[in-house]
Amino acid sequence: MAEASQVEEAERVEVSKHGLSARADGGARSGVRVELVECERRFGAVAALDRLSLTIEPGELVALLGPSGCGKTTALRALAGLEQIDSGTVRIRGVDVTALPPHRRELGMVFQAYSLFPNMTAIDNVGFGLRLRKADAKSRRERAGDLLDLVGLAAQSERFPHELSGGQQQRVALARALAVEPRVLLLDEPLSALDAKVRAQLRDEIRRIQLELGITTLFVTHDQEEALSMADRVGVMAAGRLQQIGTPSEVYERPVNAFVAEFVGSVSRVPATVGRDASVEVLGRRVPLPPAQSAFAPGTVVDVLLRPEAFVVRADPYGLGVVTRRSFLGPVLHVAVAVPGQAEIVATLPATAGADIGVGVAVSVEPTGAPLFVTEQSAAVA
Amino acid sequence: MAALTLSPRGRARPTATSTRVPAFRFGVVTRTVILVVAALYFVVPLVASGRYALEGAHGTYTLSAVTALFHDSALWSSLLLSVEIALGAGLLTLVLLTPTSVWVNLRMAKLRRLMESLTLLPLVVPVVVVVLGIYGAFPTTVVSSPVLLAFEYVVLAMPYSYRAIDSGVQALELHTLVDASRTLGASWPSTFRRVLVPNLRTSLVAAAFITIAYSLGEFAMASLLSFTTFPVQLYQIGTDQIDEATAVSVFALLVTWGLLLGLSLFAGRRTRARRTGADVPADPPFAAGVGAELVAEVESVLGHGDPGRPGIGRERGRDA
Amino acid sequence: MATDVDLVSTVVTPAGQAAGRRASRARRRVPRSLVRVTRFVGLAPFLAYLALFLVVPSLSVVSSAFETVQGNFTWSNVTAALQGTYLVSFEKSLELSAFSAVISAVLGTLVAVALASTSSPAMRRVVTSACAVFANTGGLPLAFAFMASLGNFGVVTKVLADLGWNPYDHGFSIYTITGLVIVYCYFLVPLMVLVMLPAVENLRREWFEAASILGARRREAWRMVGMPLLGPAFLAALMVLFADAFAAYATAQALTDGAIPIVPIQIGTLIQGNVLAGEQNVGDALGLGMILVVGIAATLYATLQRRTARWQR
Repeated sequence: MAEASQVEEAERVEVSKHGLSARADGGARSGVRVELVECERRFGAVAALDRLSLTIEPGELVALLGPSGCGKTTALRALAGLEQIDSGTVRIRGVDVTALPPHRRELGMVFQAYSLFPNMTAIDNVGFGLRLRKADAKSRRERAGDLLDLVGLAAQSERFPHELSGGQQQRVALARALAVEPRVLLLDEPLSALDAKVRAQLRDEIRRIQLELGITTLFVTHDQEEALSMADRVGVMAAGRLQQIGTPSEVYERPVNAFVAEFVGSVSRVPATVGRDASVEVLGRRVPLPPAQSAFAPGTVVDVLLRPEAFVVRADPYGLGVVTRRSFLGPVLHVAVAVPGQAEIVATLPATAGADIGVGVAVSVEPTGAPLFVTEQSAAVA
Repeated sequence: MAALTLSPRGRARPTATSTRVPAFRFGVVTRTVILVVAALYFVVPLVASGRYALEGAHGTYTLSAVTALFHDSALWSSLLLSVEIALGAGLLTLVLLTPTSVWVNLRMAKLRRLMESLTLLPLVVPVVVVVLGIYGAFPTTVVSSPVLLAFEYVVLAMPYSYRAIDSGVQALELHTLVDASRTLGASWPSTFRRVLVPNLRTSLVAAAFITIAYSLGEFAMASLLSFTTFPVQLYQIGTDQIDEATAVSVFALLVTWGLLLGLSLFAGRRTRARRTGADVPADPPFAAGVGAELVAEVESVLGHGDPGRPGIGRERGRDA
Repeated sequence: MATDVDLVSTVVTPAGQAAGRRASRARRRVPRSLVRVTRFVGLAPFLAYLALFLVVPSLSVVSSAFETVQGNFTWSNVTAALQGTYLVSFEKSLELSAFSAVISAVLGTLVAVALASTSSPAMRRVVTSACAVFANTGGLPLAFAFMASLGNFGVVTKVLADLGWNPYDHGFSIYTITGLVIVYCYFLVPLMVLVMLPAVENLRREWFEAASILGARRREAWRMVGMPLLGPAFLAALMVLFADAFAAYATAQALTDGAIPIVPIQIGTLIQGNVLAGEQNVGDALGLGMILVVGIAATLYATLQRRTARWQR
């Protein structure tokens, strides 16, 4: 993500080009605060939302991340008014909108796919919301045109959705959502149905536009790369509950539980026994417990969770480890190493390392830094 | 990046994007009312027919009306005629349309659309008009032979029967099968008989069933060409013995529906068995392997299915 | 099937592949242009059959419409067909078809939406199967069934009379155009349901949700999104219903014994020999008219279908 000054610079240029800063409520950078308070939604015995509370600050992009069924989409739809909640409150800009139907909440939403009206051209799709607000044809076309320009599709304004690619359709959907100057932007896995390359491109564009407009945004995804790269804060959800919410680096480097540790990024589990001085022995080296978890009693058998970058792997024909899998990812090499007496370890190596399958290696933990997380061995993955 | 994911707890809950909930729904009350009223409209006339058929004097119920008709030799001979014509039409349909469909899909795949339009042509010409044309164009010897009916029924039922056959052919790996068979030395007739036809069994049975059902119930052409087929005879009986005629027609209707029902029951058994891999005990030969696919095909051809291809044209099934 | 599995598995063996290559080389020896023409050879039996049993009669009707009994060209048949009782029968036919088509279209759509709103797939399957059956019920059984329910001494008539309002005392009769409309619905409504159900189910909820988020109230969403999207399918189906109703003969004949003045019945009467001298070919003119009406409906149907198809994915 760009430095603060660069972002502002880009904003200034973009704003004047598209003239989108003329908002009645005072300009591009005034987003609104969104609050979900103790929201509950149950289907029989299953809780889709389990006393979920979430606050999104003005202008912030919060990503809700989690596996399918965790409730992230339900949370977004509850905010949109497309789902009812059994109890709890939804507040937009301080106003309780829980009882308000979706068409009165002044939101913008981009769906996963297929939400463009197939019988209208791109520009008519974008102008739809304006048509509902009784804008006249000329100003509708102008504004819709501006927005299509913003998303880079000015040349495709007369095309029908079935004549556009997936990525183009989602751009039109974004333009359509923004056309009515919503207070909050909701994105329901907008990139999941797209190709990897298009996804990466669109990801940056959405973030750029969001920053430029300063609009409060909730972004739902199951792809942690998306969440980490786009969001100001990431909320990891499971079973209807917010497991942790924090900046991407917080969530990545300081997970509060094993689920978050394992969902965001990859993790290896190494069994160990807690020693006398709040430390554990991992692969022959004694490392201290993470500061937040020094309360484990000595002798407790635990699983130590470590990120791939925490390991040091060296070719060693007499080493205890054997490379069992390797994945060449371009800039780095991922290897899985089988170490006797423990589960597999996943480590990251520079791409040039010649670690082939079957090669003997010596594995150890980096001398600096505490493990990512430590959990009692009996605790199954939540 | 390998990230462990959780398996959802509890029973699978339909997520927002995966439920097939329609966009626009009627409330429970509205839709119940609509469906109940519709059900009444369709069931009452049938029940009324049944009552008429079975009602004796003084409000008692008796089967005497029905049994009396069973002794009517004229009715039986008309039924025989209808069955003969129907079977002839069914056979002709298979003989004419199966090779045609195979050929089109094998050699003229690009012209498939044209072929579909051609087979829909009979729907554009009303049956009474065809009868007019028959009188005008065919010599008297032809017009007075019931065989003509069999030939015409093939054409009239073609939009539906062709579709049944064609969808079966398109579902085959046609080129692969033909190439495999031919390279192993089989001649064209042999390929057709031993490779293609067995794999098209369901579609062929469906097409035959459609044509036969159509022929048995066809009234317009038969009566206007003065043939005494089953429906025509029923009509004549109906002019003075309305109760009996109603009885028989309801009976005939119920038989057809019972057949379809029986097929779908066999279908259920067959598909369930297929899913569990168990062996299905010996089915009656007709229903064996036919079952659900047949019902589905018949349904899809007789009017159910995609908005792109509704069954259209004249009143179907029973008459024209 | 053991047979084809064996055959197919052989193709991928080296021997089979070699044989395949030999075969395709053999095929290529035939010149391209000949191949293009011989493509149609296999279609010949079918085309001949269709020509003989459909096209020839149809052309006969069309040509006879413009011929006198002696075979000279004349407009008299056509002019006769557009006058007097024949003109009335055209009007009545159009009336019957239009009313039954429109009413059935609306009712059918309502039932389709109601059906789509239910969540049980069992219910949907039962009703769809029932519709497939009812859509093909017509002619005699249907006529008898309605005589038994809404005829002079029908069950429903009796019930209504007991309740104090006998429809026959108020000018109603099942043996009129109005009565026929009611009867035609029996096979037109199920047909509509079968056609509209997939169309309704294909209305993506995302469209309605998006419209809602953009500020559309329920009715607006329906008017600006739902109806335009459902419209072409509805109209196409309407064309089908119209053509179906217009061409129908047997139900009307069985119900009214030929006493109702609609075009198919008129043609039937003419076929059965009730012709005035010099008007022998008027029936053909009527037939030509029928072909035209149904043909127009079919063309409109095809045009509308093409438009909807573009939007389906």
